[in-house]
Amino acid sequence: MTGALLAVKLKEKRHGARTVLRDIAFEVGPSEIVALLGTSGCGKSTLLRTIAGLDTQYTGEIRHDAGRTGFVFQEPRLMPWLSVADNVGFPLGHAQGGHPRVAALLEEVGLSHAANYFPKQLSGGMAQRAAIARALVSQPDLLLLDEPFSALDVLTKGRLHRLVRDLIQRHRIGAVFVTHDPDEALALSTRVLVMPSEPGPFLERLDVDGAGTDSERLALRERILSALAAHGESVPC
Amino acid sequence: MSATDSLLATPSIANIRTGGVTQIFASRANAKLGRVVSAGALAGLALPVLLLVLWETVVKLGGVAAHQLPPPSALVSTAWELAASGSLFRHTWVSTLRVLAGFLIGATLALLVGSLVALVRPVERLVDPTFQGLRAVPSLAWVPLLLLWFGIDETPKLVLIAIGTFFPVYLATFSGLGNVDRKLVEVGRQAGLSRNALLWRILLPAALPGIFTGLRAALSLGWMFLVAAELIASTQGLGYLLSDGRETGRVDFVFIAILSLALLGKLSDSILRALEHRVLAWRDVANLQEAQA
Ligand SMILES: Nc1ncnc2c1ncn2[C@@H]1O[C@H](COP(=O)(O)OP(=O)(O)O)[C@@H](O)[C@H]1O
Ligand SMILES: [Mg+2]
Repeated sequence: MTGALLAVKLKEKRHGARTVLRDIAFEVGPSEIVALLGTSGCGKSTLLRTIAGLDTQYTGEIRHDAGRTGFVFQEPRLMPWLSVADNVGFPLGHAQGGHPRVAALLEEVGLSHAANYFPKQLSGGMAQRAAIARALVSQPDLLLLDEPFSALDVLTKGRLHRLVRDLIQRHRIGAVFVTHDPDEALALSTRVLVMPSEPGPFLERLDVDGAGTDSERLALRERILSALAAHGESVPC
Repeated sequence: MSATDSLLATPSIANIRTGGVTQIFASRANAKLGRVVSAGALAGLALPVLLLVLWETVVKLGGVAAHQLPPPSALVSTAWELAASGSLFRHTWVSTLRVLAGFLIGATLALLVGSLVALVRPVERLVDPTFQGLRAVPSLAWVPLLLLWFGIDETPKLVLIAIGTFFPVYLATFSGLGNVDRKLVEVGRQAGLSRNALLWRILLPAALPGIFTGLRAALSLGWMFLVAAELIASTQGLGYLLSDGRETGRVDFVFIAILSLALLGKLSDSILRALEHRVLAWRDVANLQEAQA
């Protein structure tokens, strides 16, 4: 595919002596939302961190054509000494809590009333929403999200799904998001990649976009579940 | 979420324990809190008042000679005389200025050097062992050297206090910056922060609680070094009042100086602690009193 925002051709990524990722390859284009699915500990966070340039020891090639990247870590990672608004404005610079985009995003994630709270005053879900707003504030071209919706209730989750999908389509952003929930992957992504529990290439690559009907979705869901259950038996793809 | 909100609406009371002294601190004043604070303050006053009464009685009954241990009432009249002549104020003022100046010089240098040593690996290897060695030198060992180098006016006193306050702040800055959570630093790296921005916007704020502990330790050391400097060579200050009292046999002067030092030490620490509570209001600390209950 040409015009990709991100092209990953990872040969090997280790943590110390242990190989965590091997032969991982995929691309993300504008308006594409790629879901990474896999069992816990299979290396999803490591893959996102490597893409973001936070882990630099690997072999292979990772090409970015995105200008800015927004990252939602698996934990909220808010600065405890900054108010919610200043945390959301953090990527824009020092004390940017008053920036109009901050106010707009706080509104969208439902945190306007908590703009002046310190992170210690937030529930887990509120902190996660603040972290999502922070990742969006710099208007990134590529979004990397590590289980961003895991601490949210069903209603909030649905609202944030719509917000993220809407932003991605409107601004032609590319996104990679990690989840362990097949239904969430199907609801939000345009493509699902299933990671093996032992290092190796993806077990499945499923295009979700075309799946309009319920029965098509159910079929995809079955394929994801059976791939996850296959436990490391690498399927050629 | 509404449960969280109503929780947040009630003023939070955090018992913060500092150096064995329990202080009750609240973000918002309210009547109930006021009662708690005054009850706490009264409890803290009970013991000193009892001791004063006991002291006065023992001396008045002739248990101890008054020229060795003047009764509190005599101390009050001495303090009154010293205050009326203006000399108590002058000694206090001079000592306070010395501690403040020495503390500011020492702490500022320590913040700068500590940051540099923590952030630049070659500098750490170069200077940290030396600082660790210098830190081991007992404070009073510097006095003769400083007198020889700088004479007996203000300079050696300020330098001594600056040396004394330097090390706790240096240590706190150095170790505070070295212990910042990697996860927060990664947020900064991901956002593309420069080294400078990383220091100002993540590392220093994260290290601030530790730095404050260092500052408070340094300030109390500052008073200690002040007395050392003033006892040896000075014509003004509370340390001078101490040595003057000893030379002229005025035990009451000595007592007044000791009491003034106690008050000033406590006052300056309270100011720093109030500042700490303001600046570090974001901290999410455990309430040890409740945790034990
Ligand atoms: N910093 C690290 N040092 C050593 N091993 C690590 C480190 N981070 C993760 N790992 C290991 O790498 C594997 C993948 O971890 P991770 O990417 O966090 O998994 P996931 O996000 O899929 O649950 C795990 O087995 C974990 O123990
Ligand atoms: Mg993970």
